[in-house]
Amino acid sequence: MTEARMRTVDYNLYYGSFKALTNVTLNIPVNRITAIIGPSGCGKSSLLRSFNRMNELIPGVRTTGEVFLDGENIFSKDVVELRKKVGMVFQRPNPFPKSVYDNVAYGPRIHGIRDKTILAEIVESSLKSAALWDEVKDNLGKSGLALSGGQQQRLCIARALAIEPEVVLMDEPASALDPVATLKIEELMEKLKQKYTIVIVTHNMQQAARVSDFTAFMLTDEQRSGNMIEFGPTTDIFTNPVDSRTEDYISGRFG
Amino acid sequence: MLIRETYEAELDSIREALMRLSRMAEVSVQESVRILKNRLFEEGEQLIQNDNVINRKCFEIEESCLNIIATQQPVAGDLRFIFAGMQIAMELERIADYAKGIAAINMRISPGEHIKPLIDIPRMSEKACEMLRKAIDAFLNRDIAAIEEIPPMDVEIDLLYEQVYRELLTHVMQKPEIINDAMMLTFVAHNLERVGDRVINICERVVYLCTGKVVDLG
Repeated sequence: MTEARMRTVDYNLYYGSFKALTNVTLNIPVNRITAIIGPSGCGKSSLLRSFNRMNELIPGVRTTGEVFLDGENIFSKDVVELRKKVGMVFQRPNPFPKSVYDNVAYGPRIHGIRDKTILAEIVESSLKSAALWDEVKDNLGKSGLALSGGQQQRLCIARALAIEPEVVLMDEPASALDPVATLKIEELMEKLKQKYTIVIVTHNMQQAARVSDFTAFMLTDEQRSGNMIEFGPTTDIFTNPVDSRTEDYISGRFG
Repeated sequence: MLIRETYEAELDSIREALMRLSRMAEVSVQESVRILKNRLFEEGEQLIQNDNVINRKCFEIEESCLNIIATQQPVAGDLRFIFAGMQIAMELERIADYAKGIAAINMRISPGEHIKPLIDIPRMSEKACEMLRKAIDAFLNRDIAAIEEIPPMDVEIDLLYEQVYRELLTHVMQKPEIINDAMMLTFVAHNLERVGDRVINICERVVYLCTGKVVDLG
């Protein structure tokens, strides 16, 4: 097993009195794509949001257990610093109503970078990493909202990359995109993993099989709380899963 | 209620098609030896022609497997079943080819009675067909334990083949003019020995289906 960039140990998450995640222990291998799959309501997005403490924005949230980034407990870190290292891309592209340039420069500026030359370099390298540069380089002043859906999502990825994270969390990043834009995002993920650790939540099992190196399968128990059922190399999960519930789910026999 | 009824029906139809193809291959082997034993040339001709039907069935199974992969994206146990099923269809088609070969050899043996009574060759055929039935049942029931007894049966077939070969060699030494017929009967025994080997390949696919592991049982 590759070295873990992030790790949860006996992690439990509560929304008020409702326990959304139960005893999740999971390693997120460094510079690999890890897919989290499972039926609706199994807690996969809750788990994803735990990696950069996004759940804390929801009132009544409480956690027990531990989550580590590079061996350091994320709950003892400054949350802004954590989110700088663990970026996120959401289901629907959500560019700011600003120019392409300002969308990408937004994060670095928040983190105190003012030098225009440095900002321009960050914008260019981030857009290149997000495979969007060639399509927008001649019109960086164009509104981010004027781009196509697929371009908007790559702009959001560029925005996430601009603050040089170690981990990129992706919550159904292609579910609102057409097949061609989806494949572009998937190709992009393959390139990004050389530099970043990626965790993706997806309902699309073929996508999980295509893009990820490791797959985690989650399912709710009788109390409707999310449990980690199986984790392993994607090729094993999709050809020879150990748990019969994993097999039934990925074969489409329930869910 | 099944969530994927169409998909389940397509898997069932591949399962049934494999069962039918296996039965056709088995009957071909049994018939070829009966034809050889009783020197039945017309029926032999018929068996040779019928081999096309078996070939077509094999292609149909391959096509169904490719279609289900392309349209239903099977994974895990289903994917292993389809992958193994395609290979088993090919093995069955080759088994039927051996039967066709035996019917063809019958036509190249001198007319009239055989140079010796056929005892071990029918035994080989019975053993090979029994192996085939057990292997296909194990595949369809995903029963890895059921294949354990099959490799020793293949060893028995190999021993019978050696016995037939030695016996025919002795006959030829005593009576050199029968060399052509003796060689032909050796070819028949060789074909049946190969049927056993093909069944062992099927057993390897059963292991793959049940465990995901590729093994060599040969």
